[in-house]
Amino acid sequence: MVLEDCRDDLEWCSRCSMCKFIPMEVISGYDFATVCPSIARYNFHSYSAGGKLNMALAMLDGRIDYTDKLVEMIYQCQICGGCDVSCKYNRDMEPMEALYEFRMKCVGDGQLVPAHMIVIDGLRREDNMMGGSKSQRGDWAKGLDVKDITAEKAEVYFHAGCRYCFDNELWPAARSAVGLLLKAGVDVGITGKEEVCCGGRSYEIGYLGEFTKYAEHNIEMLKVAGVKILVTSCADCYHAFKVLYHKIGKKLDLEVLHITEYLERLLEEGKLKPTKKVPMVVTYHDPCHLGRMGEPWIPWEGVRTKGSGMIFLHEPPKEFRRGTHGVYEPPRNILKSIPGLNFIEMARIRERAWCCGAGGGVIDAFPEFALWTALERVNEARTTEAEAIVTACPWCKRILSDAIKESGDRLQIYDVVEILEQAL
Amino acid sequence: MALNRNAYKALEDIVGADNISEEPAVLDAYALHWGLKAFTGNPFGRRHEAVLLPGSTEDVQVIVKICNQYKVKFKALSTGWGSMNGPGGEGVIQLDLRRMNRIVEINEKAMYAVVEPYVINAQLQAELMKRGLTCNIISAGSNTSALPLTALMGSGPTSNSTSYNNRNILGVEWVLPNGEILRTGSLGSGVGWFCGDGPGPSLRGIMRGYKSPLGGLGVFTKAATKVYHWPGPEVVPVEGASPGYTPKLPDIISAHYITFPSWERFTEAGYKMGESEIALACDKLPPWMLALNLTENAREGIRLFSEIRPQTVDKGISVLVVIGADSQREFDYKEKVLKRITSETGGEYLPLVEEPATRKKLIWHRVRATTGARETFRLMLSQGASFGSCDSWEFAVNEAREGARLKQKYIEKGLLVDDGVDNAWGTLYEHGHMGHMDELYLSDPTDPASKQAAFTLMEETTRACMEKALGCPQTVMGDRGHDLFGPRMNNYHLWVRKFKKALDPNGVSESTNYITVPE
Amino acid sequence: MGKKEELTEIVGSQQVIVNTHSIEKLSRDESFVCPTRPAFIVKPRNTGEVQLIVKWANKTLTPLVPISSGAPHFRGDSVPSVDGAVIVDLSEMNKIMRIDRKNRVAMIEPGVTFGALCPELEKEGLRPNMTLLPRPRKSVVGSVLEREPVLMPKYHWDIIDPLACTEVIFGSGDLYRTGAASGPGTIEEQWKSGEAQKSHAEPMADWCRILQGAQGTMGIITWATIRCELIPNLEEPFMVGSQNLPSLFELIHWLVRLRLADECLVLNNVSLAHILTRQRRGEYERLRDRLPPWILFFCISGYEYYPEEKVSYQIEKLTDLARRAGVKPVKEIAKVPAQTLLKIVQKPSEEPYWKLRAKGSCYDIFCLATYDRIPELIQVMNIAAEEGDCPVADMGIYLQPIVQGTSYHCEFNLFFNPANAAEVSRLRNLSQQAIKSLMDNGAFFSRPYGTWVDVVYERDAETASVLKKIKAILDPNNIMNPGKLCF
Repeated sequence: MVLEDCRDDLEWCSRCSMCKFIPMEVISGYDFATVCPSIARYNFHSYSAGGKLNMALAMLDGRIDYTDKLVEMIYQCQICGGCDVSCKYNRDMEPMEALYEFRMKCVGDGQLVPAHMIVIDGLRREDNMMGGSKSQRGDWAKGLDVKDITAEKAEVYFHAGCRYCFDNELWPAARSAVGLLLKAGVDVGITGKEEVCCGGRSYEIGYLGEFTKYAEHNIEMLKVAGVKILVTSCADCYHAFKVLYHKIGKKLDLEVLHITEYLERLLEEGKLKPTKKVPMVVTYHDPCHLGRMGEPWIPWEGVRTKGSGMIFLHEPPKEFRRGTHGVYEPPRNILKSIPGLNFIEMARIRERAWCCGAGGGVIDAFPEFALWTALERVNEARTTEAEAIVTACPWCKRILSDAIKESGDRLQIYDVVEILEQAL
Repeated sequence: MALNRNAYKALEDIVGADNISEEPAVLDAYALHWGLKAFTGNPFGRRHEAVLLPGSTEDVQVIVKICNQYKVKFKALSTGWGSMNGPGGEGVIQLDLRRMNRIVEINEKAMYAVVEPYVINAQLQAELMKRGLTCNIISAGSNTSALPLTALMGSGPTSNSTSYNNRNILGVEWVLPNGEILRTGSLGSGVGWFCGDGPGPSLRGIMRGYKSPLGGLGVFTKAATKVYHWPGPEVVPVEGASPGYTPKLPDIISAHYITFPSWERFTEAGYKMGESEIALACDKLPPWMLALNLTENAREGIRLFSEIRPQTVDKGISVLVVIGADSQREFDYKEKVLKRITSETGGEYLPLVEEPATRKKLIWHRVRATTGARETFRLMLSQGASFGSCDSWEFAVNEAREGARLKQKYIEKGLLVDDGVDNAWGTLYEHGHMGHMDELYLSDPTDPASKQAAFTLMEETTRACMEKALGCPQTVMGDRGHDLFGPRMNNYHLWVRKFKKALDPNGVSESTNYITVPE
Repeated sequence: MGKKEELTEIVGSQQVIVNTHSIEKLSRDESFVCPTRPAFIVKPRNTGEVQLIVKWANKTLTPLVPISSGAPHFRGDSVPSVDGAVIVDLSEMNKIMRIDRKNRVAMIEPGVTFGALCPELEKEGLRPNMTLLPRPRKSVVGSVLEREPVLMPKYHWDIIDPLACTEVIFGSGDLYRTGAASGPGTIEEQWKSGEAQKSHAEPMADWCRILQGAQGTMGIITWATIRCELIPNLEEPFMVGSQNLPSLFELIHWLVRLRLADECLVLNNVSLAHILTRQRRGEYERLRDRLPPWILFFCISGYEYYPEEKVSYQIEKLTDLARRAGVKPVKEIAKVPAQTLLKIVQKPSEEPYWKLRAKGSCYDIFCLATYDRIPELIQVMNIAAEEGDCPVADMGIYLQPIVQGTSYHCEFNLFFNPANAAEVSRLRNLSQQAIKSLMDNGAFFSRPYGTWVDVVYERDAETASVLKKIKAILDPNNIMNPGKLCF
């Protein structure tokens, strides 16, 4: 697929501005009605999904050429998918596809964001997005009594992901995840320093080649390891394994689960029993890649063509991913299973959740914008009077932690697994 | 041609470097409008010289004064859906008012709200509902500005009980084309927003007609709008995920989709429903739109339309009636009256909408006006709208009848989409005191014959308006249209040009879609 | 040829009045504006004549002062501000041109009075949204052009109501039809297409709004359409007596918001006593003293479908609302049945006009304000009256929720003896002082008359500036009632 393939959508964007807001049905007040951090922060229409579609069309039509500003506008976006959900509340379009393709076109045309070039160089060299040394990738798991699936067989593979591996402050959450699986008697293994990036972030910033390379590597590794289930605590990795691999025609031949899905299963099976009270008021932040973007990929190949009655329809019929079937309930069910925990929802949840700010390469290239976006979420969380934000992704946890520090707030932040661990 | 550097610098000094742009890509994002594609084949109009994001009335005022000083034209937009929000061109700058997004006041007891241009209707309505109130939301959707001076017309699904924009305006803060700030009515006397008229003659008279000036007469920076009672909950709880939300509404808010055997009976029922004041909404949502409204994709919409066609299109003319009540007794009374009127006029309830879950979805879709784009743009076809001036209910119905009559032959020839022929959306205003109707039609812009049919139909409907006294169509914009209708309507265009000239002596308030004054 | 002869050529000699008595009568009114003698009175009989008169006035630069109501006049707008003016008396243009039951609208000429219109509407099952007890010779068109408050706020969607379309001769001499009447098509063709001249707006302007409140400074209306309402099948009027305005406002808010009340207004004991009593000695005082300080009057109605059921559920709702507001609606106060008051306010005033019965004249000070400002405005007015040595105990007050409760018309009725020079002088001073104080406390003088004009426009220079531009367009030679408003 290339940007030109999105032309119909580019031309038929009606500029309704739905992409700037959460779906109209669920707006419950003046505050927290917006969904797109990019337009919310920078205000020019060109920052919204609709505006980016307009610019993409202008590019295809030869009306504009690349400038630093244009590239900046394309990338000052977490590609969080909020716009996609709101657009598709009413429309049979794929605005996110155009956003991805516009980035890939940039990369293809050599229009690169300097900060991303550094990240990608690091990826090529060290197989991670964090600029860390691959030799240290397995350090997070030191002392855990867990299998190494490159050496021995296991039923379940736990993929930590670049953020967990190289962000020391977040290690406890990854270790808790593995610990809980072990406690429940799961036959789980990791790959330690042999783990490589899922490739998802490189896809999102337009480096399809790198993504494909890491997808192929991981697929081969998993094939050799012979695991039946891939579990990850990282929403970005989950999205890559579950959605993006499938999207590029390399669907994994195993079950991909986010840790919250697996833990929910273990709770249902009675293999984990939260009994200790955790007397805390918490709210939950839906990671974009786990929620709206985490719903399974639905392959479709066809055309939009004029059928009977002059009406253009997708042939064969196309089922759209509208954010409906993301992973929303498992983390909530885990939280609801914890004695003493008071769980309060924020205004923007599930498919219309506000992004944490870290995604789409923004944390690397535009850290201030990432922090601004996270601060918006912290402010929203504060209105619930919760003591803590709970989330299910290391990227979210990292930037929200930074925002809490920045704001001087006393809010705490946890991963779902950390809360569950307290209850066991 | 780039903007004069001194002018640019002066403008930049007002809004700051982050809020002004001459970047071609940014300008193209503002130059694209869906409506242009149907007419020119190219969705891009002319670029502006620059786009600015003013943050306050004071910003707007200084910008306008600079524009007068440097003879630069300006054009403001709020949410910017309509094609009329352009056009750019040499020497024109765009003011995007999205940073002016505050709800200034909600006065629950005096029943008004004051908003800036980038408060959207959904935000305002949500805040109002917390106070048991609601507002008129234009049929296009709640994703549009709540300022009652931005939409082309301003009628919506609940206009039967919430009137329409022109009649809901109270005090207005208005940066005139010369840069002076006019505060209408009580606001000008410094005592609040509650009245928009006087002292003496009301300047609302030149502010807009039944259509807004489409940005051609300065910038409206704040306005008070009347609000109305909402009999439903403070927050409508919505379950599920997009797009299949399930709203939870009390049973004493209900809806029926009723089909009447003829235009005459439909008209009669409208009058009766108006006079009996039973309906929160009396919303002529045609079967085509109903089907698209209730489904999650175009294909499903087409299928549902085929399914309900025998019960609706083939049987007559349909209307959606929403009943809202504050008590069971009130609700029972209204339901009883509706049943009686339906029986007296030979109407039949559509079973689909009698199903509770569907009914609740539909009510919420209409009250919140969430599905405008679903009912129109989802099919990715060119659409046109004709007629649309307002007067009596019978007049409005006659607009729709004429629209359907003229359209039918093109549908029979396969040149326009078969949307059931009568695809007029409309509503009663103010419990039947007036009515509005516009006839929609869909064509294929890739098919020259279809495109031509749409053009011809538009010409025919325009001619019908003139020859059959069916009002000035809502699509009449700009000099060409007004010069056509003006001579048939007291030369209104000449009078408008006079006050446009008086208020905009330098001609800087860009007005291609309003009216221009020859040099 | 002199001006009289030229006018005679247009309308005929019978229609040009030079009689001293008539001229003298129109040189003054009940207000405090300076008396100025008009040169003639001319009585056109149709639109064509009006247009010719206006064109003539432009040619001869003769000021025109249109009037449509019969005497007495109260606000100074019908008294010329300049010498040599011609009064255009429209009272003979008094045809009821059309009553359209289905669309609830009447088309009338400016000389049609409330006294003439109400019975004709009643035959069709309609009624106007009445003002409070207009004098029988009050022109309906005159009343709506002055934006006089109407008794049924739920039908007062927009301040322009119940005025819909007009035919006007602008000061320039051009004939214009406003609103839906503008076309396309003749009026008859419009009727054929179903139009009923209900919409006051044209595509790009709403000229009717400019004509309203203009005191004849923009043009002369030759006919207008008036929104009408249905006559109910069942009416249940109520009164609430109270010492406490805020609790009444609370109830009114809900009565209007929930569309429960048709007529809905508040009178103080003075005004209500004046309305209900004749000149019999002591009767007014006795009633005034028996009545509570404030009386809310409203009527709950049922229409064609199951009127009893409708009224019944509405009364149930009312009972709940009244309980919450801490007030008690009753059917009678001080032996005055609500039903009696209902019948009185649904018609024009009986002669003599109620405001003149007690002392021979009445000076009204009125403004708009939101409900929360009104107690303060009353306080301000009481202080001003006391300081001006005017009897507060005999000041009438009428509070009318308008535009569906967004604001109130707040009217102070100062009854006085016009023959008592000292009383007149006190009132004249009071009126000037009070206007400023009221404005300082949240009052909006949307309809500035006579001596109030300068004070009001001083506070809103931009409105005055724009109005002058519009006036210059519609009346380039400033022949229409010059000296009024800011022109």
